[in-house]
Amino acid sequence: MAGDFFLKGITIISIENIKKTFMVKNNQIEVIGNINIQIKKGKFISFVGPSGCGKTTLLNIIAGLESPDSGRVIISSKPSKEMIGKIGYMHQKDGLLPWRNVIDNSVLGLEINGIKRTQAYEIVRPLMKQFGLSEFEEAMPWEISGGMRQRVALLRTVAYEPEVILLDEPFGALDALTREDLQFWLLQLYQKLNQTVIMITHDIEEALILSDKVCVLNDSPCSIVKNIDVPFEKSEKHRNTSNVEFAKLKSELSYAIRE
Amino acid sequence: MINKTHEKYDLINIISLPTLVILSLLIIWQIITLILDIPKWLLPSPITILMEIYNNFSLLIRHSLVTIQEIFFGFIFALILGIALAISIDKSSVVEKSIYPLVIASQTIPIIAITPLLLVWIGYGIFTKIIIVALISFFPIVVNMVDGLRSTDISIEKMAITLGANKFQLLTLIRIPSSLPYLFSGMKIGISISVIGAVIGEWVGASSGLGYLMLQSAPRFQTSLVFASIFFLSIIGISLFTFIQVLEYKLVRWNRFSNY
Repeated sequence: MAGDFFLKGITIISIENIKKTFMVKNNQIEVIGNINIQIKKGKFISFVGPSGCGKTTLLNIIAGLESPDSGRVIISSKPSKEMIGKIGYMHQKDGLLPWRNVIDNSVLGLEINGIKRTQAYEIVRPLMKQFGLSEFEEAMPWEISGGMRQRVALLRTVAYEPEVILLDEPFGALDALTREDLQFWLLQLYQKLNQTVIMITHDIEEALILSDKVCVLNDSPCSIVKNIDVPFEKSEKHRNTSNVEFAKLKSELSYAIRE
Repeated sequence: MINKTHEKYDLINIISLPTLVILSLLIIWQIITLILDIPKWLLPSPITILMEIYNNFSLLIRHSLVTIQEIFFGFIFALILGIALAISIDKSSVVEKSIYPLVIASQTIPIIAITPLLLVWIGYGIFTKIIIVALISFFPIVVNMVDGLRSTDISIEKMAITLGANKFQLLTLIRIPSSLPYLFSGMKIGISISVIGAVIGEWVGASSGLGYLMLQSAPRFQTSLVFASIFFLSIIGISLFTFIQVLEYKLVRWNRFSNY
């Protein structure tokens, strides 16, 4: 079965003894203190932690944008620095180019990777349908809603088929209702695309709804304090936010964050 | 969009209000010259100037074409040079430290002081005026374009880097497009002062052009021809400015809607 295959799946991301300190006014501040985790192909992992705990720095290191002081990140048996351009990274701000319409924003990643625009359109069009954006191809970013902009940003991230997708509070700037819709939609999409995803968020419920594994981070320095496998089947998860086990896990995790 | 009717209303305002102001000024001017019986060589009335334009239309057009040519080529020259220089200032700190201060220093020298030198070096032909126009209009283009390139949203640039963009792609796909609103501001200032540049060039030494025509007419007390030349110059200036504004409207429409 496909499920069994992924349980035994191969490690795609290996985060090994990452440490990072920043100098602030002659004081060394340890931001990340020894993070160690292996992530298997096709899994959805969430890092949950309080804001300002160094989550984004961690994600930047995984993306290869920043270097750790010690330790290393290996993705598909290569150091992450060499994987820039092959990792999808979606930020909290959608970062849509205001001078490009929806479809031209969606093909940006393909275009940067050397694919001609007309050809890129062909690749992106079927995805536009899945993302519910087909009717808005020609719309400019300022003409569409925040939730839609976020979907365009995600489409841009997945369109060039990166092996790993990093999400930095992808729905952080949205209202609760839109957020819930997009979480459910992302869950369905993730099952179809089957890519490896790392998401950081401060929302425990969001992490439990979407991921296979939730890692709780605490701050100063940022390190993993708790690590749980989410026991629900992907398809039922969305419905289960009110059941007893979900609530139990949620309180367990929020307790771990506050510790 | 909500702005449709608003824009239409604006367009009527843009055209009708200045026209109204100018018309009333002209009427007052006409009345004053009639009442005080001011001689034609001192201050011609609007109607006299209009007659002058009508009688010398082909002469005015001939000289206008020369001035337009000087402005056009000078401005294009300034635009190419300005954009290239702005990009190199933005790219390299060596260029920034060595050239940028010179660009700024060059603006402290009045253009009218260099003009006689240019005449000696280059001659009385059209090329001297093209250089003067370029010199005067290139400064606002460079300064604004440099500011524009530097105003690029860092989060957008970071996003493009994660998509794998190299330095060249960052420049062409992200930095240059986001600098366009600034470039257009520079171009609008540049085109307005390039008209001044052309006239200065013609005053110092020329055998044609509207500046030359003014210089020829004034000592002969053909004051209405001076006014006619001024009228043509302002028409040229306004048309060029409007052309750039239309271009801006087409190319950076996004700038008025997005909030960064």
